[in-house]
Amino acid sequence: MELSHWAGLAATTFVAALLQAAGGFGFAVLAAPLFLLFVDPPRAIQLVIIVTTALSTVVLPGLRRAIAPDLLVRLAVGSLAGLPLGLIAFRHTDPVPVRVAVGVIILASLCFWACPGAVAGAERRRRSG
Amino acid sequence: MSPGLDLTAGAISGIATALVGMAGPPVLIYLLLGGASPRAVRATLLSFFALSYAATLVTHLLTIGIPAATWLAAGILIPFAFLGGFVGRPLGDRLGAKAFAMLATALLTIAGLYTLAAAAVDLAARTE
Repeated sequence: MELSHWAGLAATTFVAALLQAAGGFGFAVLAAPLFLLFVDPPRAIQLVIIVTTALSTVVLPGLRRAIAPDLLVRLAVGSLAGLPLGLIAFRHTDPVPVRVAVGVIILASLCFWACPGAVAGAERRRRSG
Repeated sequence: MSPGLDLTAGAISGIATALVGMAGPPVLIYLLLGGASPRAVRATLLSFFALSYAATLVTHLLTIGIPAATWLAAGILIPFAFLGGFVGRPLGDRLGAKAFAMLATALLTIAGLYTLAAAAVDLAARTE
């Protein structure tokens, strides 16, 4: 691999780790597409998995007191239950409409959370109209 | 937020992981809508990722395997991740609720747009 590719991977890793440590989320979202510019998809995915796992070991210790263990267990149990359902759906559905639906749901949920005024206004207009 | 909704949010996250490889957005949106504090959101997400990525790593090791070259590349990149982690953690501790909301908004916007772009790329590849 060329030195410029290594520099790109290292810079992406640093910025994505900074975002994840500051906000709790974002490493895979940022690193996965950018890693693909430098390495093939299987290696990019495995790099994201290994580096994220390693990153947790340095970021988590300072936040241990803020973790709600019961909530974490319920989320993890739910995720374990949802994973096989998702795998079944993955086999039997077209990935393009699924991705479109997920993208739209993320953006719509974001709008619902970030622009409550806009949502309330739309609701008022709907009721009055 | 309630135990039933916690389980449902986790299940949606599991489904999203399998379908589009993104575990974070459903849990982040759920915690934000539930009014969790920025520190609780960060801590819960990071610990959730630690569990799910560690499990995924073990699954990869036991099934498809991880080549030595990938371990080597990861070994080179991990110090940069640690550096990012050491810089980002105190930044996150100092983020106010408003700044955290802006960061979460930016990350979720990227996640949503990236998912739509990936769908568009898939569609374009099919029509070629």
